[in-house]
Amino acid sequence: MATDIQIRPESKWKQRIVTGLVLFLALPVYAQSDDPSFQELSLETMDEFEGTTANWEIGGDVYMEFGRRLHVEAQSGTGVLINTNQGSSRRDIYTAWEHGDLDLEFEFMMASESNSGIYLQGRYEIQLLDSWGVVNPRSGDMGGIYEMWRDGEGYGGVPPRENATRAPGLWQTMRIQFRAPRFNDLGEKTENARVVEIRLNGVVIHKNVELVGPTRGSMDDLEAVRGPLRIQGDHGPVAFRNIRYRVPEADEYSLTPPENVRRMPLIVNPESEPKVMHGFMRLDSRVYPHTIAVGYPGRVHFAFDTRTSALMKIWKGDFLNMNSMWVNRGGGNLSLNEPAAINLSGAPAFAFLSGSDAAWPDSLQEERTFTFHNYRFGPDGDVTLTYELDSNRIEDRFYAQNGGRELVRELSFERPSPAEELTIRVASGTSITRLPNGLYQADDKSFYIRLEPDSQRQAWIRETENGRELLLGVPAGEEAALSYTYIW
Amino acid sequence: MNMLTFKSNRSELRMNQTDTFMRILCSLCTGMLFTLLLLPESYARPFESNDGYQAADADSVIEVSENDYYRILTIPAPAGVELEVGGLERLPNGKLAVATRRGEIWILDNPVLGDGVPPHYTKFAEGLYEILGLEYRDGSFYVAQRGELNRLTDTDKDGKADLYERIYAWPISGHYHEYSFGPAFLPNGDMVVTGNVAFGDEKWWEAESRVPWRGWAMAITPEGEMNPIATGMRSPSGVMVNDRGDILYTENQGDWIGSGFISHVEEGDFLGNVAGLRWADHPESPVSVQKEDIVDSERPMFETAARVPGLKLPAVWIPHTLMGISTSDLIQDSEGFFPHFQGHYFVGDQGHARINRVDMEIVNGEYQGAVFPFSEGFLSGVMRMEFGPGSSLFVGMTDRGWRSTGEETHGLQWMVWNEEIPFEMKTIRAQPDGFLIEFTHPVDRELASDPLLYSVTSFTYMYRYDYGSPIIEQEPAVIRGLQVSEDGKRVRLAVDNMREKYIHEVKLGALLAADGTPLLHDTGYYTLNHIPEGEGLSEEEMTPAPGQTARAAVSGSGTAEANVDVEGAGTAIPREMKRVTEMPLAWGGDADREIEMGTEPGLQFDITEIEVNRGDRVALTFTNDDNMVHNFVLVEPEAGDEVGEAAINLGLQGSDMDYVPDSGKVIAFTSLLQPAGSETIYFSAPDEPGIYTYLCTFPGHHIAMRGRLVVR
Repeated sequence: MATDIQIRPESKWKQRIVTGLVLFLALPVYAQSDDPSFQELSLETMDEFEGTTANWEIGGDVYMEFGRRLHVEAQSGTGVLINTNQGSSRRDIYTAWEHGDLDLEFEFMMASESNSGIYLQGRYEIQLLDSWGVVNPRSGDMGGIYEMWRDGEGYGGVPPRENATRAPGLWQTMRIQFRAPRFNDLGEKTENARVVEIRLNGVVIHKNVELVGPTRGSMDDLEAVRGPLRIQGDHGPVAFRNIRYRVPEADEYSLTPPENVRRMPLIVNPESEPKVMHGFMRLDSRVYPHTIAVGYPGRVHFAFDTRTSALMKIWKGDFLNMNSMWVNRGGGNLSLNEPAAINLSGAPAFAFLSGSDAAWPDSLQEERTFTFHNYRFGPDGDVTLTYELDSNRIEDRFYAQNGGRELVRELSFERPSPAEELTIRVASGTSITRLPNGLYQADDKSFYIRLEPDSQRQAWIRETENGRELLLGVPAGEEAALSYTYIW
Repeated sequence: MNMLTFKSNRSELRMNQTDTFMRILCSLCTGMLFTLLLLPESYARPFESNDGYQAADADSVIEVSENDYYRILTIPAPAGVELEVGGLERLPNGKLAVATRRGEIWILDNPVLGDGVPPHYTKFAEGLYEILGLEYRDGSFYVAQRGELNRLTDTDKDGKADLYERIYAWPISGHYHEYSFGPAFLPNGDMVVTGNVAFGDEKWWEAESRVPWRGWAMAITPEGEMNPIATGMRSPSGVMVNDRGDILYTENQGDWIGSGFISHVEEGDFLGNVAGLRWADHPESPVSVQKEDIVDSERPMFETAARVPGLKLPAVWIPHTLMGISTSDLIQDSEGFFPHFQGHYFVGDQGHARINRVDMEIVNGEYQGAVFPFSEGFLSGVMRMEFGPGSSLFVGMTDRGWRSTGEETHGLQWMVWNEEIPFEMKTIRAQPDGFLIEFTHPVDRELASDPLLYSVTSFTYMYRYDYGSPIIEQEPAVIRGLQVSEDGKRVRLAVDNMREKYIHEVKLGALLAADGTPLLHDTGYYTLNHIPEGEGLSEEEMTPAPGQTARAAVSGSGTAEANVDVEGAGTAIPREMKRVTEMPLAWGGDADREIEMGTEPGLQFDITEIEVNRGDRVALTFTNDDNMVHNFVLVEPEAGDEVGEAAINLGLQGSDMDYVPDSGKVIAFTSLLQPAGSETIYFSAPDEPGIYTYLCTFPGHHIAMRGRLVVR
């Protein structure tokens, strides 16, 4: 079949090994897709790649310090392909196989200010760049289809629809659906190659964009039925894991008119001021009917359960799609692009723990009363929620910072004296650690938390049945303040 | 003498009605003539008045319409602002606050369109979930959204709310139908909020109270304390506190609710729908009725009420399809914005995009009264109303999710009275032996003295689990005689067969005011919860009717209009030949065309054009996939409006006739199909090529729900 992935002749033996390995590997924890038709590109060894330079290695984990230019530390083990940016010669890496049509997904991590790229068929580059916080991304930014080159000038690059980049040092996801160019019997191109869809961190950034020709830096000037997958290695540290791919059916990516066209989404975004939207919200198959979603003009948002104080989700990009609430009889949920959200928890953010081992309650604790009083739009683009947990009055102020890169939470407490020990759960997840630079990473490097000075001495991490929790004890005294920042 | 002298179809209908009336009278022949001979001179009035009408017919006919008294202006909105109105409040400074189902509050500067200039819009608040009530008090707005009651305040005085306070949040399950309405302020400053039920999984319409206090009215203090006060509510979209400090609410047809109505809500009441009784045994509940007290009876509601004292009967029924199909807002003209209707209530209807007027009295300590048509023809479903400056009414509309008559899906209109008082039945009051009708102008005494001008018919609805109810136990009430007051503004009817607890349709023939002005509306529906004590009219006081025989024969005249052929119609083909549900033997087991017709949400057939050859034998199966009732009616070219309107005018007979009028313009029809119902009809395509119309004639549907049958 013309679009099959084909092993280069000298590499056929590798196919068998790969197949065997895939069979014995447990499903990766961070698999983006459960589709069994995907197969994993083995990162146990470098065998799936052609020989390359020493900057590429297989490791067990990787650390790229937030804010430290081009920093990378590889840890030993397997499962992660790392460009350490070391060595005198730093070249790209090519798969030992070639592909035509391809459905590819992977996780990757960018070092601060680093630059890499995925060359489909070795020729068409999807840019990988630390474009965190860029407001108007260009074709050379993260997720852009890199420009072509003619007479010493670039042209024809395609910027992503929006910038869905996460902070350097965090794991990000990309899925690329690619349709190879088509040729007639004479070898003449009859159809351009096409990006069927690219999602970056769950956000669609391209859909049905034709690739008119090879982009700048293509491995050759040709276009062909097949070519190897190629990763750029000469512009700074980058790491990959959970690379999975699938060969689409021959006509899967053909353009056919659909049976139905979906309703246009009804996107609501804050403009000059924050917005607070009431509604029902779904999280982990439960509906929270008294949710407020709070959005900021910097395109950073959160959802809060006004019945329990749960900080349910944080997300960036488009705020809400009101399609299920504002059409027909209404009654739908506050809808957002779920893959773009970081789900925190539906459990209350505050608890009175009976001991340091007491499990975190998943609903309001018995005999406790939670009263949500109000929210207020402040003069500085901030929104402050005021509520009461028993006799503890809490002002909970949120605002976007650093151009929408960060969400700051400032809590102030008025408490009876003497006060019961009150604890906040900042994050829970499979892995939470304090990084060498003092930031905390949560959920296997999905996001960072920066504890501000008033909180640093109140924090502790504890092991739970489900992983770890980052907790803060509210200081004793009639008045107290704590603050921390979500960074992703 | 009267400026209203133009001719219209409407007047001709009126004349037809009179003609029919006369035909019936004449057919009574000798017995009646005999009676007449024995009667005083005045009884000959029907014949004389008929002469009068003919004279009018020959020349020019005085005709009145609502437009002669009320002007409706549309208030423009900026592009992108969707005024799906859920709340209206006129502010002390003359601005109009408009709350929307999209959760915004807009403040309109110059809502009265001064100099023909549109209002200026400022967004005061946003982000609330489906605002369905709006009040302004002491500098703050009060709104109910789905899950809570809020107070919104502009503390930094920039014209926009910056402080959103929660007064109280009630449980809610997250079902779409859990709308909440209000608040209505009680005299003590507490607020009443009502809540819709959710719907079931078994039946799309089955009311469910999934969490406490859905289907209840709640009283909430400004400090946020809530007391549940009454239940039995299904879709209580209008709630108000009247000039006596009493809570009234409006209800919509559904399970246990045979038709829309207005009820007076007191602490502990159970108002009809059983879903909310789920919480009646909670300690906070003041309701003593328990779910097991209520059984599915298909009998009138008052029979259950006699057995279950906590069941409150409606104060005023708003007969389904006759006066609307979905009762919405309720406001009272306690200050006399419309002086001739001071103290009356205006009731919105979403599906029919109209406003009715209600006047109530208290008999034996309970509210009862009559509902009259007031104004129709709004752009979309009427959801909220607010009195404007002078004698005017702001009308907020939305039909999203249901569809209504009217060409828009939402909007805001302003209805202004021109200060000319229409000739109307102002009130109907119950009397020990009948009814007292009060008019806005003195009547033409001669016409009004004719007992045959009046017809009274009583009926009621089932109290049952199934959705809605047909009209049941319909009976004529016989007019024994009447008395016209000295000032000519009141007519007292003495009536036999007054039936306590029943709805009484009071319908008038072609009555004129003393100055010749015709009645603007000729029908009222009085809910007779109690027959008051007291003296009836004596024989000496009244003009007696011309004998029981005559009266019985025309007792159906309340619905006489329904039997009148629409203009230009022939009646050659009997009704039963137009709905043939078995294939005619002559077809030899074969149809030329088999058509499967279904529905789409939002009042649509799923096929909007069919082509057939002339004379084709057509087997058409109509399946109602919608969640409302529908029929399929094929009519002559251009006859859609006419047949659709005739269906509405079927009045009390509508449900028995599947809302298909006896009209020569009807070619074929199915019965009225319940959701999921299906029926196959067999008919021959017309011999005359042309574009024929098919439509659903259920009231409120005929304008939207149509298609074309093209005959080649």
